[in-house]
Amino acid sequence: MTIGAGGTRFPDGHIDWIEAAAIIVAYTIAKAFLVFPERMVRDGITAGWTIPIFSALVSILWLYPLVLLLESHPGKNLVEITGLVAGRTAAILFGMIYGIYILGIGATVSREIASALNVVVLPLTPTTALMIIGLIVSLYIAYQGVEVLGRLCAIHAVGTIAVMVLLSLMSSRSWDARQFFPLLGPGAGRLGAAYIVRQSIYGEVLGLGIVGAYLRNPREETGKAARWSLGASAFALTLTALTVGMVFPYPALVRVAVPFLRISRYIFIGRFLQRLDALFVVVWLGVGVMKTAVGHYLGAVTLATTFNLKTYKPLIAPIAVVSFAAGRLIPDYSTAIILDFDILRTYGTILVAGWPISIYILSRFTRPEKEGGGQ
Amino acid sequence: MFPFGAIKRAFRRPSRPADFTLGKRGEPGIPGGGEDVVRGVHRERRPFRSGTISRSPFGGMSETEREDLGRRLDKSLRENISTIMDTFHAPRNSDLTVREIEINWRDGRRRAVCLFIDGLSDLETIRRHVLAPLLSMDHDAGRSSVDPRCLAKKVLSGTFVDFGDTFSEVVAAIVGGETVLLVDGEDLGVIVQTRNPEHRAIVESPAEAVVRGPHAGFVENFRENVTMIRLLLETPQLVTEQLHVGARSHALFGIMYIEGIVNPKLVDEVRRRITSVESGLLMTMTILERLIEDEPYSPYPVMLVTERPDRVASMLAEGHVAIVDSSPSVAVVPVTLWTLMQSPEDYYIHFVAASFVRVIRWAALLSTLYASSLYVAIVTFHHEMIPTELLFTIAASREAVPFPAALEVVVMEAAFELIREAGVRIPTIIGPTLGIVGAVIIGQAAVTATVVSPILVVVVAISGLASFAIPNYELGVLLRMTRFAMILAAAALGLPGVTMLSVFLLARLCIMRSFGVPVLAPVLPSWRHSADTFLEGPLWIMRKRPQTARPLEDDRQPQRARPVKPGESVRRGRVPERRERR
Repeated sequence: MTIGAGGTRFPDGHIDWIEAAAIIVAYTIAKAFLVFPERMVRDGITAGWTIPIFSALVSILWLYPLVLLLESHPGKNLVEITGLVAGRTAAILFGMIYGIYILGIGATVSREIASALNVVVLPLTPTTALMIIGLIVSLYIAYQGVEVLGRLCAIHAVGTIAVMVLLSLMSSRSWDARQFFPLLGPGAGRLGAAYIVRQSIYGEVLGLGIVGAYLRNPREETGKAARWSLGASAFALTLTALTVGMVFPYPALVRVAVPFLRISRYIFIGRFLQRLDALFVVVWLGVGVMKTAVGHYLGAVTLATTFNLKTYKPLIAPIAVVSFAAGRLIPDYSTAIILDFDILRTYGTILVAGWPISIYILSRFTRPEKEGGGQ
Repeated sequence: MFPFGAIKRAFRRPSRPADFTLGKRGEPGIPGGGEDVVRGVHRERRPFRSGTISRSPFGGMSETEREDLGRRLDKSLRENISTIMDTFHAPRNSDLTVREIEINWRDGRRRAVCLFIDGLSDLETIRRHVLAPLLSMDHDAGRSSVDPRCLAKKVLSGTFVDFGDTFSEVVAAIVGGETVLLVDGEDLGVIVQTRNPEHRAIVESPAEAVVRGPHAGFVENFRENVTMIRLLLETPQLVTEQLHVGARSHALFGIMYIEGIVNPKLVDEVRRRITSVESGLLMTMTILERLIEDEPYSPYPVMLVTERPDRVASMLAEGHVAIVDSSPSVAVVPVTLWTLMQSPEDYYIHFVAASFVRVIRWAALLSTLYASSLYVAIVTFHHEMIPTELLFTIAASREAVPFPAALEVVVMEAAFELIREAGVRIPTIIGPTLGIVGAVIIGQAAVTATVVSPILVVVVAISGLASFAIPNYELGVLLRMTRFAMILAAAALGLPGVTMLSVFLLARLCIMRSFGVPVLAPVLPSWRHSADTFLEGPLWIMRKRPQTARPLEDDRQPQRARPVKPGESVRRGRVPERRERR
């Protein structure tokens, strides 16, 4: 049977655009608390903070076709749409690659968070123990389906962005705007290239292609969900990069592994509002758990759709275990960062941008197969 | 006393299922089937809707006995009384009262009996409206009263009169507190409403006391409870459906809602759940709650159980459904977390003050949940979080304490719970004294004995006091229990443990539903909600009903609910002009 024909969307309830956007935002902004600001500065030097803004603008190039595809195929996810437009082989190809991409992102991020926690807060607790606890909670959340995931992410995304704003404001004593000069950083050419390549920091927004199928009114809400997903993510990532860029001079920043955590240590407002880095753990764990939960869910739904399974829930646990095992295979924090930013995200740009654009172009030239056809 | 003994059913008629004769549920004009709308007669009798007597009060009987009760009444009074007395195990069971009388009938004097249960039925009503008219009935009246139906129309002066032609119906009526009149030679029983069990006077609910606002609380009387709600909602749209629940107790429950506002699907769901209960347990509101709630294994309250009529009335006006019984607790569904954190008094004080109190209440919720666990996490794992001076103070106070912080906290919290529980059980006069003295003495003694640190007593006191500020009792109990889990999580992993457990609890909250409505609605999922969801907004801007119960009618009040604009002064002696409604 052709993937997508007959509607293979799982009976998992419905969400509105706020919840859909919240899932994507929670999935995207987790990286802001890890090495992300340092990576931006590496690429853009003093203009590193502009990368999230302009990369978001570049991302519209593939996000817009994705929205059009979802709107024209209500109730279908991107894998199903690919099956209808380009055939089963293309759907399996893209679905598999995207599934592996999600798994990879989940593995590296969980490893990064566990390592950071281990180094900063709980040096005597084994990393594996932290990862297993996180795994259990994220599994439980992912297993509850898209409605629960959406509500939880809405609480979480609002809380996380509020923490970001608070931490940024509380560190205002250390801000120095002179650190933004020269404005173009490494030069217009390199900066422009970084804008294009680093649009992969919004790679998680492609998840809208999966959760968009659950929107209650896809035609009215998909565009809104996409705008808010990208806008809120861009705001959070830019704020992080901007704050870190104003607090640390460029040469120092490239040596700080977790810049936002370091900022929290600089906060000293009065005698009793100081050293908030332990509180940072709460945020870290929150974003880590939510990111992995969303990752497990998206991975399971993607693979279940790819292989025309009737339900996705049995896949959640295997995907979580594979992700956990892959995370344990990564030897250390530095390797996890290299895998995440230099390999997965850099080459993932091709998938993230190429998939919706190519399918949209194809859909303009081909007539979709009829429901139930192609069996 | 009748010489009943060995006279048994010589001529047993073929058993017939006891029909619900006076209008079935689903028929036009009969919303629930419990009230006889067709005849204009209000009944509080057992509706044998299912067509069998399996859902009757005769649970525990053998099949043969059930079949016997499904029979039609006999023309022989002796036969009828024999069967009824056997059913009630009389005369061994002294509750059943059989009042034998002779009445004038069309063909001379006829024997008759009034059957009722002493205590359940009002003796004065029986005397004035049943016995007196019957005994004073002259021959002419008797002549014209050709059957029990005419007797009910012309002689009996009871307010509500009904008929029963099967043993199951008359037995159910007697059990329900009504009086059954059986006449020799007639196979139709007359049921007169005389139910009026003793109940206490209307007093304020101690659990939901308010400084301002009405002080009336529900009592142990179904009719009284319904009346209290009806007094606040004087509208013909307010509907009370009566249902009988439970295989053995066959308790009376009422579903109340405002027709036109309530979502019919919600009413159907409530009705379906209640009528599907087949339990043999003694059916009270709390037991029914356990049997019909969405998540039976979760202690999270998914029904708002309140003792205040004003609270029920206000929620009915928002499209909720109330379940009333003969207990001082009325359940309202669906209910959200935001409703559980509201107190009736919020609407009797200024909205700014109410908002302030709400913030305090939410802070209390967080304190109950996290004060002790954060103390354990910080003292055990995250010393760097606290300012140095405070760290030294804590370290100095804990220097002589031989136990780890987690054990200290658990012991103190357990002691606090012990005092609270003991304070509830012991007599009222010394209860509060024991609570205060116990807390002070145990706390002071524990500090002096260096079993706990002084700062811990402060933390536990804050946590314990905060739990009293939660307006919903069940939510308060849940928070107190969860507090211990938080302490253990903090002791095991510090802040990461607390975070993980919090995420898990949040996920549970996102899953929970109250009669199909997510408990975080209308915030998550984001539905339209009024300005009193989290804080209390001005009453006049709450134009629309919240979407929590998905009401049929959205508008709660016109756009200009206030006759004057906020800040607009009114000249003395002049009534402000009426504004056009938009």
